[in-house]
Amino acid sequence: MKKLFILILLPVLIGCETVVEIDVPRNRPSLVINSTLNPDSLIHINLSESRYILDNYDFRYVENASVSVYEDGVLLDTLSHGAEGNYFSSSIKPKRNKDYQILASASGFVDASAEVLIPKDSITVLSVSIDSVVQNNGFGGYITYQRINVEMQDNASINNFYSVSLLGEYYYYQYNYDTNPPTLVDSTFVSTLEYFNVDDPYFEDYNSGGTELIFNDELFNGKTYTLRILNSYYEGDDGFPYSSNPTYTLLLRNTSESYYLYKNTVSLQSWTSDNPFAQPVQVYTNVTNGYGILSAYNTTFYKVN
Amino acid sequence: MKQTGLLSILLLSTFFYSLTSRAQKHTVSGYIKDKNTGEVLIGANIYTKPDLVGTTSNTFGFYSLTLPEDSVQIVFSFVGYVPVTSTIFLDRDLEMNIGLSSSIELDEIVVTAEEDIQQQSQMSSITVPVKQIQKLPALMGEVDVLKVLQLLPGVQSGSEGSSGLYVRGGGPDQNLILLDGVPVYNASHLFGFFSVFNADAINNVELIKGGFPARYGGRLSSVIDISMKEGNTKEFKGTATIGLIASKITLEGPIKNENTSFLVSARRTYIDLLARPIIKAANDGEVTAGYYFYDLNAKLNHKFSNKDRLFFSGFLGEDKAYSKDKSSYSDPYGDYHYAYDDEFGLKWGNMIGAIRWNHLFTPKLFSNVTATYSRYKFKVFEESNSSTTGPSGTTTDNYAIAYNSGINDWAAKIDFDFIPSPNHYIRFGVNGIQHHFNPGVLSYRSAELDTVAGSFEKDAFEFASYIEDDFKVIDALKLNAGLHFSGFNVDGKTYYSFQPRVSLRYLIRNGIALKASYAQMAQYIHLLTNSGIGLPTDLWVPSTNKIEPQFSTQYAIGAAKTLNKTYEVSIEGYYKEMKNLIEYKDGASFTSVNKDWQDKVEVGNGRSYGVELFAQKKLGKLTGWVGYTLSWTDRQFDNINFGKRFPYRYDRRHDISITSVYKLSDHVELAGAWVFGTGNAVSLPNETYMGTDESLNNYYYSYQPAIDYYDGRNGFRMKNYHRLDFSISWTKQKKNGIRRLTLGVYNVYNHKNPFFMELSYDYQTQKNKFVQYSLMPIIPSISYRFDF
Repeated sequence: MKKLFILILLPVLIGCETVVEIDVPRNRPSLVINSTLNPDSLIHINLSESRYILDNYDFRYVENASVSVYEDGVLLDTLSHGAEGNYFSSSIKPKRNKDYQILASASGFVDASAEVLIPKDSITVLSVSIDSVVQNNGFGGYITYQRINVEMQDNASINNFYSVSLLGEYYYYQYNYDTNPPTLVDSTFVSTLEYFNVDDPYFEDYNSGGTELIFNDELFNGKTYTLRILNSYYEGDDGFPYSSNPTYTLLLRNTSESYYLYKNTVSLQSWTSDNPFAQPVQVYTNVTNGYGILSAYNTTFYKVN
Repeated sequence: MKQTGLLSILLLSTFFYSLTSRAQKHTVSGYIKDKNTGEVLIGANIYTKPDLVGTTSNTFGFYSLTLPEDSVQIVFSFVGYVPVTSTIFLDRDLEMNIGLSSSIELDEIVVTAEEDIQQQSQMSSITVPVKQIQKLPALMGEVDVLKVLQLLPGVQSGSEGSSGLYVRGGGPDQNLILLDGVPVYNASHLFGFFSVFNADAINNVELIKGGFPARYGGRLSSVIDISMKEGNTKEFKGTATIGLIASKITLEGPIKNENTSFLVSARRTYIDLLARPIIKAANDGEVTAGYYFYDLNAKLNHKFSNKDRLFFSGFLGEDKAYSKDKSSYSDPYGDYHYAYDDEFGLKWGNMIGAIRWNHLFTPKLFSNVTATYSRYKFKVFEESNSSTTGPSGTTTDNYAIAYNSGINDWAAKIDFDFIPSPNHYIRFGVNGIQHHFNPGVLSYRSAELDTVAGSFEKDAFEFASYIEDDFKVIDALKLNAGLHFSGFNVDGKTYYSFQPRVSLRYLIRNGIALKASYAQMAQYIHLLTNSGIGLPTDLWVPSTNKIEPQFSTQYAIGAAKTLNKTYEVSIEGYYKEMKNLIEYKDGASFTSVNKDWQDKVEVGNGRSYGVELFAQKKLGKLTGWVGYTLSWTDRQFDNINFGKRFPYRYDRRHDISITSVYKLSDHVELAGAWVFGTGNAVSLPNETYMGTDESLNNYYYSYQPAIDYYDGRNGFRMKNYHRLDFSISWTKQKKNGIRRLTLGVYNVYNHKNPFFMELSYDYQTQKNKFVQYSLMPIIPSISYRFDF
């Protein structure tokens, strides 16, 4: 696409740029609630304020707020304040299949609220298998191509929203090349989310190739589906591997719809922001009288190796 | 019941009685042509004196006039030509083929057209003479038919430099662009900066914005009926033009005798040829890149007899952008050798062909049978190969990605013109189009993957029939009433539509004509566009089970008058509603092929209303027009902008165009055009806030994107657009032809017109700001034309 736009601008003899005054009305800042709840973590939200588009100071956190959490309509907790707009519960983790409402009020702002249902199910994984191909990388080392096949069962009775990530853990080696042969001087433990692709054209180009894949069950509602994750790693030159063989953990999540909509619209907004001719995408928000997102998920960890 | 039946028969017989003759009547018929070239004159006037009973010639130059047996004086006239008057005694059907001479000194001979604007029942229609189009200043000297149409009221240009047409609030897909009766699907070259129509090959251009006669259908907003020249039947002629970016040549002439003639016109740009050595030299020959377009028009026609004529016309046009990149490298020890090559290409083009057969059944009944083919194709591809050769052998890696889309049409139609008396001009016909849609297929191949994805190809059949009568009820009242019936069969489902059309003209005092019209239109095909500026990536898709056809209803009223036989002035108001318009869902685009296009679109409605003023001076040393449009256009989609109406991107409150051509002397001509338009509507954010990305589960790092909040779609305006173009031409008669040198300047006062806007950060003031980007600065041009 980039090449296409370069070509469009090819006939332009001289591009020209002018700063223009546009009368954009300035509204009073609103509260921004950002929170992702899951049954494994204590309830936690972040509170900040929105900013006028032509201002560009750093986003401001809201520190003096009162934040209440309701569970199925009953007051559950009032969150404690930490630094940088963080508010958390000291003991309570959200429960599956329960509805949570967060109400935030701070002086100078209109009260904002948001609501989310913690997903009931975890992902039902039927099987996980790996196909590997090892290829010479042309430098005397090897590239391992892996295809991780995750066979999962979808629940037909509800609209499911999924998120998949791949956590790689390995030692990274450093050598002293002044000696002959080079000697190993240090190794560092690395734990990182891998960038991966998916062997299924269903997944949009902007959604695949990152560290998280977000999708819903519209293609396989109530059926089994095999997700094929493509991953590869280099083992380094002959005799001097870059790293130890990684071990992988799949992070499989059943997410709320708000998680799905938010993540998708955020990536769409940034995806289209390069294209001045495309209509900009409005990011999904479920916050009333404010901005931001209250979302939720359950995670299942699955060791791959 | 019986009485009603009797009444109907009575009414019908009265109708047919009025169609047929009371006294003995005879028909004068024939063709009106340019005397020097043999080219037909479309819309010429044929009328009697002194009672001004008359008709006009049709698209093939044919006319038919039925009059009582008597001595009669008939005038044949056409704007810019010396009229011919002929006195005859009409005692039998008569065939009169008339050649009119082009008048060089227009200002000295008062050439009038009796069937002028206040006579026609048709409204919202403008015919621009090709000669006028060729005289107006043009971007980079490339004369462009569609760009001239953009200067008419009710027609907008969209973005800077683009040749897209937005007629009365409609989209560029809603224009029925006909080249010799064949629909052209993508009329643009160079991403819309030029149109595919080469003015040298064109005889006539008619634009209809509303009050559509029943013979047209299939699009909501306009009909642009372009007739190609038939080729000089008298002598062999040619025209060659050398311009800044393109050159073209047109050859025409008779074959053997006057009964057969041909025309061939070709054009090609040559930036790529000029730039290739420079690009090669700049990077040691490893990269070549370029862009060009070409088009070719050809027409052949043969007259078998005065009753039968056969025409072949063809058009072929293509745009192509390409880059090739090649590199190789050997490591210093000579152990390994790496080679890499990459090829990128983008091309699109139209191919159309038509065979037409005119047959005259009787002097009153003219028929035309047409068979046509129209194809639009778009392809973008990238292919790369790399290889590594080492001691252990060679490993290769390659990948290829290609995206194809297009539309193919086969069509046939038969149209009849029945002219029983000067008071009736009846047209009827049927047509069918077999569409084949290929709305985007992506294929991808690499070491790991070989896959094809995208929307499914689809076939559909579109058909229509119509009848209309241009009917003079009384001298003051003329009516064009008709019915267009059409249908579309796709996916086992058939959509039907009855579209009543009516337009009327009523003459009041002082020669002022009041006009009114009502038209319903249906459009069974949609254009998916996510750029909004008309790129070749836009996809033509059919209506389907899920996506219904588009419909529109348009009302217009107006008044028109000719002043001093030189000025034509008209004012029109219109109101138009459009249903089932489609637009991509937020963020969806043509390259995301995971879903069928039907799942990527929203369906909504549109509305446009406004007033248009038009004053034109057709004759004299100074010719030109002034057009002004005041209009409002909006869209409403349930899932866009929270269901609220929002301004259309090209909602333009004020739109002004002034054009003029001034003949300084026999050899020197000046031309100028000034345009003004309210800035396009644009979506801008008004607030921003902190986002969250907890996908990383807070284990490692947390990334917080800034999210922009938009209060509504297209809620802001870009700056107003205005521009002045100017050109001067010198014409000189040489020994073997006429040469014409034209110097032109586009955007004379170098106004920085908005193309798009972006939010950016100003390091000096340390503030955010909106930045406007402009495209076309002042651009001079030169072109040299030689007619031989």
